[in-house]
Amino acid sequence: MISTRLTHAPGTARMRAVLLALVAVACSPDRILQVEDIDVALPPSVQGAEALPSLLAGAIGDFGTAYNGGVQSSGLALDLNQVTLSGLISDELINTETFPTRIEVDQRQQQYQSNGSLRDAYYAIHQARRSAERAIEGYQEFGPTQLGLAEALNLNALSLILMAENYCGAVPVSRQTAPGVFEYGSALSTTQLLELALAKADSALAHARATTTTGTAGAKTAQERLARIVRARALLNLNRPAEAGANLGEAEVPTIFQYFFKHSEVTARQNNGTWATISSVARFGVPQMEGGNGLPFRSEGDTAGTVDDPRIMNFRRSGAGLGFDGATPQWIVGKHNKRDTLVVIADGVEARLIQAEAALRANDYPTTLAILNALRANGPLARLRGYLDANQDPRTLPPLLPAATPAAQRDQLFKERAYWLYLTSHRLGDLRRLVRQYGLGAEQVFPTGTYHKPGTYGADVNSPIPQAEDNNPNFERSACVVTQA
Amino acid sequence: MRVFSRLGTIALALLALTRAGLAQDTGALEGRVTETSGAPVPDALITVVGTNRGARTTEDGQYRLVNLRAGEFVIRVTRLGYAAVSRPVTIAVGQTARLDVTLAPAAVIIDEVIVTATGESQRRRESGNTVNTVTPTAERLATSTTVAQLLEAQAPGVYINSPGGTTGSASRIRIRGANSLSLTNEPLLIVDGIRVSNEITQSNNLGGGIGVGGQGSSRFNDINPDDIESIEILKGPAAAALYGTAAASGVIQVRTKRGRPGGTRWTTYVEGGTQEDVTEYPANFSQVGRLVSNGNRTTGCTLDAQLRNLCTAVPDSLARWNPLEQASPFVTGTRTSLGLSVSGGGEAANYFVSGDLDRDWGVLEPNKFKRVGLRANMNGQVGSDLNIQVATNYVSSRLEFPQNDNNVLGVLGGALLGSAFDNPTSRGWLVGQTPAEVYALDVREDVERFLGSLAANWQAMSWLSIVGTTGVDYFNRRNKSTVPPNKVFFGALPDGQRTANTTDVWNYTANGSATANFSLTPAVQSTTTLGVQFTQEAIQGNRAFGAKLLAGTGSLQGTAARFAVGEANTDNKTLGALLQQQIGWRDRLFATVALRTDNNSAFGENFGWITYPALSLSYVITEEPFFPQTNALTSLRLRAAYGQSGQRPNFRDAITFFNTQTITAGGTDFAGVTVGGTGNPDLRPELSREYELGFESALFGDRIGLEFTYYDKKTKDLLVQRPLPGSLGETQVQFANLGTSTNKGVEGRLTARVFEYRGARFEFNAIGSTNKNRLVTLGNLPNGDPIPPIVFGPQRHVAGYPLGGYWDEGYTFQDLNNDGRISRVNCPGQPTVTGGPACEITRTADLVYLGNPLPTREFSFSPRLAFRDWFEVSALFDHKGGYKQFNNTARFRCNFGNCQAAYDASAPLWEQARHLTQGFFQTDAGFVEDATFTKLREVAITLTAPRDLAQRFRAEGLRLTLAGRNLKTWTDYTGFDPEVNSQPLNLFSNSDFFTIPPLRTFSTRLTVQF
Repeated sequence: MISTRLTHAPGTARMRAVLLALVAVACSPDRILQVEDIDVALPPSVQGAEALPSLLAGAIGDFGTAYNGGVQSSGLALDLNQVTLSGLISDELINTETFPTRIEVDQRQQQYQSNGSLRDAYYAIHQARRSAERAIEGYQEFGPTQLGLAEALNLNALSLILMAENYCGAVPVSRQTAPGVFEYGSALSTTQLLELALAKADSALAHARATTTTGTAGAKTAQERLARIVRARALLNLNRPAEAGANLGEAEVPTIFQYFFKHSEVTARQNNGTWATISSVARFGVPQMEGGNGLPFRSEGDTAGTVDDPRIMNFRRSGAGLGFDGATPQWIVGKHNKRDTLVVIADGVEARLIQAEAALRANDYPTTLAILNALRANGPLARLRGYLDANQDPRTLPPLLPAATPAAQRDQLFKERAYWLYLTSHRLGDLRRLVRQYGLGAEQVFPTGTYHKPGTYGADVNSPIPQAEDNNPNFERSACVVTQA
Repeated sequence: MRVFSRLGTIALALLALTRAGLAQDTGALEGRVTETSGAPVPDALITVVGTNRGARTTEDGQYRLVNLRAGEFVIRVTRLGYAAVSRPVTIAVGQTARLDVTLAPAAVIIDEVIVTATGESQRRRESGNTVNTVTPTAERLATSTTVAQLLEAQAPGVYINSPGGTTGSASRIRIRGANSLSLTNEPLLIVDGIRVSNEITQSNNLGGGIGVGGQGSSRFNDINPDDIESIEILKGPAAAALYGTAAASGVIQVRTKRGRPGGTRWTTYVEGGTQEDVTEYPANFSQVGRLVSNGNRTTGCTLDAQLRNLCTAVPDSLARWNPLEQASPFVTGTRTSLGLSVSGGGEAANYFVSGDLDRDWGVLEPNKFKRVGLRANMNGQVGSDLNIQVATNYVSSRLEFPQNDNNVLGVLGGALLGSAFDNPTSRGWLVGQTPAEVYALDVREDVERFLGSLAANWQAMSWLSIVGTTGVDYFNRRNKSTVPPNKVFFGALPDGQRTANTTDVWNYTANGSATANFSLTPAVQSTTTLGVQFTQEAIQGNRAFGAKLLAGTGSLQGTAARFAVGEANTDNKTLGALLQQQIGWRDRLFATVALRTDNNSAFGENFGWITYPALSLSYVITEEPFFPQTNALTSLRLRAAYGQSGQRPNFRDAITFFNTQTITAGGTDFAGVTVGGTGNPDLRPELSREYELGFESALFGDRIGLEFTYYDKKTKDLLVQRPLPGSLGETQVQFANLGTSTNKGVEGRLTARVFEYRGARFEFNAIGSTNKNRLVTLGNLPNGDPIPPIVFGPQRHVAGYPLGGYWDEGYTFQDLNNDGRISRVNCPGQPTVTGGPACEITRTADLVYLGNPLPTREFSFSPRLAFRDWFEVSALFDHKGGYKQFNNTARFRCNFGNCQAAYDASAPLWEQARHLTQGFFQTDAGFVEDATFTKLREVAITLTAPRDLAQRFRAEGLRLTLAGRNLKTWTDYTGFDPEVNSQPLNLFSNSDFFTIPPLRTFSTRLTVQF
């Protein structure tokens, strides 16, 4: 039993010291609990005029990643970007691996509930959109006359166009207004997305023309030219070909103009993601008339073949020549041949092709053919677009022969578009336009029938909105119809 | 060097204080503690009740306490395995009192001393919750290379998942199930009173580890089992509320060895052993055939293709090749341990100093683990009132990891997904390279670690004691990977590359508490404790990568491209205060009320302090006069406890932030921002509340001990990664306190001394537990709808079911035409074959629950037969059941077209069916298998030399232990081993995916005492 008697009372001073220490701790908990975080930027630090270059760089980087990258903002792998997403659903790529999430995209039987690859690609394109919006908001407040605003608007418009071309016609546009405070958008149809993109591109064009402050004259002109192509692409998708082709001549947008994303080896996030999935780990390969309706990309681009079209250059994978699945013969794309190979986002060739289509839709096939053959005869273009090394002789493509029927003329134009714009996230939009604007059935243009792995092709003609969007109270899943072009 | 310099200063100061503090009005106490047989009882704890004074007995049972203030005291003697004894003594000034004590064996120990969260000692009888104590024995030390192995099957409700046979890999520890979806479910680790990191190295930027496919290291393995005196396991909030915002998953308290007053005692041990992979691995299969369409030869003529008339098999051409058997990469692993310790000193100051070397070479060549540890613990008594303990530990380890698990370059994956045909170059390995060539990919982890703690226990007044503990756990971890150029041919690896990540981790602890003891009446004792606690965990990491490594070099200096650098800094602080009031009645009824309040730097800015209450009641009812005193029921303690504790959010979970990204334009690199995290300013800790009820009883004259506990734990405010709509353009998820989970179950222990006859004795220890884990809810979305299940592979978090349960679509099959084959042809959605068999596979449901990833019942049985003091044989049978394992190895092999079921009609029908359903019906249900098993985990034989024989070798003691581990497995699981886990670093993901199974080991340990 412990005694309650005070047998001694030493240490009073020491006890006081202990008590004082306890009181000191109790009185300043906030100071004690303060921690420093030097690895990341908090929202206040990305506001103000000095943050504008970082915001614009962020918008460019996020767009480049969503478009053709291989690493998400989280640092995790991005299995699909807009280039490969468009390429897999269409006839530009086939799957040569084992992972079901990408196989079902190639097979046009996408599961919106559980497909992590689709989910990541969807987040990435919205992050690109939102990143551009943050830059726009920053410029509008702190640098309304700077040229960066035009580029941010162009990138914003491009993000919206990719959403319109590659996803079902029900894409919401939402935003976080303050930490933890969300403003949810309702689903926008394909037309609404394109009209929004058109408005952004028009703003970009107007701003680029009006700005008189920063940037060189070349940069200002480049943003003007980019805005013209972007708005033309939106108009083409909106089935307004005459407007699309207007003010898009060589004077406004020279054929040699390019707006590209410069991939780099500097960080993994800057790597060319299409290179990674095709050349590096052999997930996707070049198909040959995929699903019957596809174009002969492999045979006509095979460097060992007779046609050897440099626009779709490809070659058999070394070793056993098989994809990651160890079974599917794989041809590697020459276009995205290195981890730092740049990817063209918009260029003068696209402008010419839009003009050619505008002419065709105006029943002026000779002009169409002339534009197409002028591109094929443009030797420097092959080097500019990376088809040729600097030490190779300029090379041109033989002229196209006139097509006899309207259908053949249409197919000729779309094949030229497919080859010039191979793996730049245009093909899916083109196939959908063939259905939507030219009256073809989906089964006439999309890969159809027996799949090269177990099963058959499905009926998807666009990509679904992943399940996570169901957390948006204003989103209606029923509006997302993946079989509707 | 500064650390050692400071330690030296502390030691000198301690000695000086000790000498200076010798009081003049004191006396001494000495004596000997023996068994009823007269044999000495070493390591018994002698406590002077009501003071901070105590001592432990030496090997021959002697003890001595000096500088005891003169007066009348009660001396309590306790020792695990014996009933406690209390005796009054009178200490006279300048005199030495003597007290000899005889201890009787007991099956249930209710007076064992345990350490509380405040650093105070407490007898088990005073606590209303169960605390399990594990004391390393010679046999367990011989079979266990890590502390995690030491804990296997030793305490009910404590699940240790050793994920496989990769030397140096981390174990997954779960106490009373898993609570959290997003935060750690590993218990809090306390060593000598300070918080210590038991991090499992993650292969991300924050962790800095280098991924090898699945396995990772654990800092839990840094502790040398031979340095441990005892381990106490507090299983949940009911017991650990005073540990605050870190203890929701339980607490493991490690006490390291201390010095003993007396002569200098040297102990050394040497251990050697072997380890082998005894798994029988399957061959790769292929069937040569002719395509019906063109007559071409094919090596992929599956049974399915034959039934679909796509090919015809060439007779006698079923090919098989087994790289793991016919070109085996396995070697016999070896284990070596050497240790030397010395303890001694006087009553006023004593010490324990040890050093050890462990080498553990795995069964694959690039799998090596080496650890060197040094420990110096000192204990000083300053006068009669102040006790100071200093514990220091330095650990240096080197680990080499092989490629395995989810890894195309892994040894098992490379073989089991390889070819069915031998090849003189590749020997059938998947990537065309043999393991010996892939071994050029070198992954290492070097760790230097220091733990230091200083604890002071000051008897400020006769009724007031003040305890302070402070310390630091620091380690530097260097994770390195080198790939020489043109050695490993996959992806970009032929370029060669080097990764060098350095991580420094600091854990600081500072605790202070004051405890006041009063006798309110002669029968009622009051104990009041007030304390504060501060902990800080800071991590600083540097990351570096370079590619295109110059041949002959092996550092970043030799790289030429793709340079990448990074830094990872995190800091987390917790400040807490606690108040506890205990009322004891006649030393047999104890009621305790406690409150702990915490704040943490990771809480959301809108959240302040959180308070955790605790209540407990303990009643040794058999000590009541009214209770019938019978031999059948020797003692009975009833107990009940309730408590709450929490788990803080992770660093940055609560804040919105941006990361940096680089863009290149015009040949120049620019820094841009990209979304990093979507914060939640309301984020608060997960809150676990638990109550437990139970009893401990001794039966038939202490021959049988029986313990039983029922627990019910509920965790609310679970941090759920609420999926954000992609259209926000933010991160994919945002943490929110939304979910609720529960864990309920029973735990029991039965110990029995079955017989003792002519020096032979047989006893056993059996423990068992159940766990019913449920996710109650994941919470709701902003629109009010329930958050949909969280899916990861075949596992899901679904409300109403166990966390991480296995789910997939069900099916049935039947060989309708009795041709020995299961066919999918003519099934809905499958190929139609005219004249082919009718559909033999039927999908039964869209999605069905398949089972729990964690055992729902555990049982272990440890018999022990001893003869006199020189022979002992013991075993450990370990049973875990009621759970499932995802046999992803078999699934992937079938997916790759390598499994027997794809080609061979002699394969069991169920194997054929699951192969087809996986490939063509998109369900993996057939590969989620019952993982219930029983293992003969350990057998050990210990021979102890008689004293006269030992003295012939000039030793005080000689002990030889022969031990075997993982000797036999009984299971219906068809994979390599039901325990393997290719994802032990993840919270719930569990799968058998090309993981090296647990190894069979044999070891011999010789311990000599001088």
